[in-house]
Amino acid sequence: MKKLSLQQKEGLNCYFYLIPGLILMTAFVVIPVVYSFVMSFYKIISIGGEWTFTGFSNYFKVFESGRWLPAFGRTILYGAWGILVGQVATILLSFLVAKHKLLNSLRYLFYLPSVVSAITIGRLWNYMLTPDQYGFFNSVLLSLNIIKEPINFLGDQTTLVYVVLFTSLYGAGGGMGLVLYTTAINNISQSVRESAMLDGASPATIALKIELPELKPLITANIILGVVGAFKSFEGLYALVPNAAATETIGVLLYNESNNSSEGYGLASAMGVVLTLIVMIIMSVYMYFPTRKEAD
Amino acid sequence: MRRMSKKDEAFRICGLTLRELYIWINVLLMLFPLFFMIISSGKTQEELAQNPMGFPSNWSVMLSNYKDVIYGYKYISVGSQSIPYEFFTPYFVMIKNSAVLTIGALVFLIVCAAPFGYVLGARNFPGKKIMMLFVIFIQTVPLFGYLIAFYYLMNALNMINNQLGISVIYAAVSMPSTIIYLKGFYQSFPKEIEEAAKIDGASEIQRYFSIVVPNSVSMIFAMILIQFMGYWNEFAITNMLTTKTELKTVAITLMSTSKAEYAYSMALLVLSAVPSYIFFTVFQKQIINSNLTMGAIKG
Repeated sequence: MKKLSLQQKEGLNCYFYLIPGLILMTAFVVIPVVYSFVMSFYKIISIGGEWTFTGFSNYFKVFESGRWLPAFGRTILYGAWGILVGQVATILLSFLVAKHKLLNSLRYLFYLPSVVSAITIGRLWNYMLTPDQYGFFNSVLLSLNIIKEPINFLGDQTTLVYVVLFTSLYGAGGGMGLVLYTTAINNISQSVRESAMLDGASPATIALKIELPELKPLITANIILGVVGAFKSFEGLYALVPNAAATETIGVLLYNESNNSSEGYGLASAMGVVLTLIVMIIMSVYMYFPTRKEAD
Repeated sequence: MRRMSKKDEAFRICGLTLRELYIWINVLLMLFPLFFMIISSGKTQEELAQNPMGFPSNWSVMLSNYKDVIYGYKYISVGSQSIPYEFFTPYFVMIKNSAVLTIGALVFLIVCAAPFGYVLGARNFPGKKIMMLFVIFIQTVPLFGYLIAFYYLMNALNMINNQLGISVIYAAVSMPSTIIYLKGFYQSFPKEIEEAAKIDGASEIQRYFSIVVPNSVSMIFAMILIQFMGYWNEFAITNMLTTKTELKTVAITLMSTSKAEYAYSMALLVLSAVPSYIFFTVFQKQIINSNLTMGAIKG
């Protein structure tokens, strides 16, 4: 046998570092993914029950069931709204706060809503919006004589859509985004700003023409991560109202199907596979983007 | 610089006032729900219905509500008396469960992700690109799409209701992002010290533990801070893989409370936020700094 060169030996050594991670990710992610893929071709009524091969019929059912496409639409709607409101609110607040004397305390205050979990906030909204006398919003509106009858915020599906859009405003300007943006703004060199001021640029012009373009890479990264996040998250909506059509995004739909599926668990698996493909396409667009921009 | 005219000066003061107004209204809007949560935790079930807006009439109710959460009490009326019995998981048991899962997952995460990130960032070896693609593939997998498969897997391993099993899954699904950040960190890791040690005859393992690990403690600490909250609040996997009451975490109990248990849930909402706020307040500076590091690596 040929003796390995020192460099080759060093290269092989590297694999020892990879082993623990590879084992864990293979055993607990790759195997479930493959298993799910296999399951998606079967009809499985109960866990531990019999598997009946049905070919691609689960995949047809995903789109025929009448739940996937609306859920997809809602995911896009809530995701787009969340990103739009989140980015606009964060950027606006960042510009106002960045040069503030109390920057650090304000960052702390604006971070507080994101310290508690999405479940806590979701449950809290659920209580505040309850249709009966317990609800905070209804009792305020009733006592101010704005409404005569309590509004069924969480039961009526059309109203619920607006409720979801409303609740996603909460905490929109704060959190980690604010920290990142204010830091990026304050990292812009003072001399650039001063020379613009000498040229007679107003603070608004400086913000729009000099500071905002500097934030662009950060904004792009946050938008893409927001899109992926919209597909991956479900806790907040599930905590707001667990079983309602208007809160059924892809994430909630998948969670519900995995826990209690009338159509069998094969369908839930097929949904998981389709979702994975969607997220992968988005991620590959994201990874493809920066390289293309550099080439231009 | 331009000279300030009176008009400009007025304009400036107006702008500054509007800025303060916008900032503080925002602060109030963000804090109000949290404030409301605390106020409501001081009301009885009846008072929550009759007076959802105002302050509690009797603050001692707050203490008794918190006591119910701590003991997991629910009340049953026998004649004119209401007798408490343990219905929910006691608070400190839930906290212990969350802590066990979180710490377990963090240990698995760091033990596996730190060396992985190191070789991806600082070393060259055949198949490096494939490994990177593998990590990115794992990252795209939305875990709740595979809850049933997790269930089958854990069932086959006889690990349903097993906290070790759950924390391993937590660690495995969140490993890719940690690896990617660590890779970014190790790319700028100075190679000279390691080279010098190599010349001195230090073995691979010696070099890793005496040079690489001590020099990446702050980064590893940052990864722990970033992951902590996610593990602490995890819901879907734990709910799927536990059936026993004594294994419930705070997140699961929060999700399962019903309308008839408002007083209990309000108190639980407050108490569930307490560990997170303590954690955040203690590590405030480090958490913000580590997020900045992540942001820089991402961008």
